[in-house]
Amino acid sequence: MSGFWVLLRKEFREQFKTSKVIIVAAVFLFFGLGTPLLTKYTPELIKAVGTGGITIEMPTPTSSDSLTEYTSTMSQFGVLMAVLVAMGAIAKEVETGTAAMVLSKPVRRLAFILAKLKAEGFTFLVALILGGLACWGYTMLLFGDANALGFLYQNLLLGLFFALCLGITLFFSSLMKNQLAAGGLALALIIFLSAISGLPWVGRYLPGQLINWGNRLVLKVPGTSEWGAVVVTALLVGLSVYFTWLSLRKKEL
Amino acid sequence: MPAIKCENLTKRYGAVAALDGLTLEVPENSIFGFLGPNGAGKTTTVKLLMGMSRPTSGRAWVDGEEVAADTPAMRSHIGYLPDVPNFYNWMTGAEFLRFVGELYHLSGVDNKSRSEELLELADLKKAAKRKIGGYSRGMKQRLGLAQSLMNRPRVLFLDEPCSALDPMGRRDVLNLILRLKQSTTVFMSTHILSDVERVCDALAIINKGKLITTSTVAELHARYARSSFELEFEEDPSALATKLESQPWVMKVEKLEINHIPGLRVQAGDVSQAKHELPQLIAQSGLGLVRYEMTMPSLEDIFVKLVEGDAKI
Repeated sequence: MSGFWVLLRKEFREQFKTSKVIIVAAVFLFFGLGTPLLTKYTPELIKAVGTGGITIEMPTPTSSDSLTEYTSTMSQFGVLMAVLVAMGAIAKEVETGTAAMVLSKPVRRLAFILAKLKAEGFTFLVALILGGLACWGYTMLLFGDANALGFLYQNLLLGLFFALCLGITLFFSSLMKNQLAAGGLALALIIFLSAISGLPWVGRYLPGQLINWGNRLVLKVPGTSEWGAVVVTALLVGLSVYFTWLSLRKKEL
Repeated sequence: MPAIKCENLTKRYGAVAALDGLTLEVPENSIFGFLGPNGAGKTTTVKLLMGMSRPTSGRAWVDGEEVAADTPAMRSHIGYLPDVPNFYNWMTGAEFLRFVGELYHLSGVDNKSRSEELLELADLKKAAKRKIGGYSRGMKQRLGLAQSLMNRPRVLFLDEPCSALDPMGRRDVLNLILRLKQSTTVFMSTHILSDVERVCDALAIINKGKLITTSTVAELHARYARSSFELEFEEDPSALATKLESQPWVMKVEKLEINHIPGLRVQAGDVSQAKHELPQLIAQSGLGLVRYEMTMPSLEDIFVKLVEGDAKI
């Protein structure tokens, strides 16, 4: 595809030069190291501080609690990071005129979009690997065991969910003139999609189920697989790229 | 085959016509000036010709290919300098040129030598390794021009290429544009008339989205330039003005006052007759003559008249 590899190299460099990789990875690493620690010592902290005579039954924390707590936290902070990283990707380039500068060259608009999605996906991949390794390693250290395979699957599902968040945000970034408006609308749609995942029957096929399935895999809880949600999420990523392309084709640069 | 052609090219934003039915042909290897006041539709036209904006109606061809969005093949032979060039501020000037060279599929060696050649030409060699974020407006303009030449374009669109340049920078850019003429068609939008007079073979004047005229600079002078006589007197020349207005060879008489010296500007329909009869009429008036000068209007005068609708086309 015309211009794709050149743009991808440029986008990769931009992720480093503008410190996006470092910032996103640092947030994941922070929670990757902090969550096991908090999970392990929260009951002891409460005991030490005192409960003022009130009896609070705290279950003994497990390694699974640590791993699921981490992914639960990241499914919220990660979404926010994805929106922040991608909301200006197209809107800001159109606003400043760099999009016009690049797209006046022999470059396909689809290549322009895909290069951005892949480079931002790479940033989240690096962050997921670092944060996941930190969380798993620290959980092992503090609890003595951790479900490695379940946690790996859970992170893969989380990665797919982030790909959708990036795709949706890129779409709104191509549609809106203002990056803040793009970010706001993307966040609203992602929250809506997550909220309706609780609906009976149809909810099983929606992206929000990815996190629930991941938790069940970590906890080794028997239950149905949510391949439907995986397929629907992958389709939604594809659709978001397609609509971003349609929107950028009609965009006045 | 014209290098650029458009037929009834129209761009509307709601009720406002930014460009209204532009029909134009630009011959190959010419430098074409696209003139107009601010907001006339110059940038809109360039963006439509570059396929960066979609026309409401009409069609355009550049280098023989019909303009459309997402046409990489056509863009291989086109260069473009936007009115306000913007760059990735984290890149250095040299990095940006090599990035553009890669987008044009230049080989590694060619890319390196071409970017070095253009950095030299744009007088940016010393700043080549500095981040673009620290460049001045003029340096960005010169880098913009350099990047537009990376692919040795057959058609080059320059939107206000001299707008941010100092006099020396302007001279260099105009000399460079003149040198391109052998191999490139240059479409240059501007509102700086002296630039057009200096480099352009032909020009079009546009106002409020409508084409007013297309011509060469010489033709424009021949068509619209009316010789005027500027006269200054020691006394008030009102009586002479009245007498002149009744002469059949006089088109227009205007009263002037330059540095408190009263005067007249006489526009003659028949210059030859004016040359013979005007001195006689001045002598008969008994006024003390301070200055008598025959003047030709500049391109600027013609432009202002055309844009304001004073001249009939």
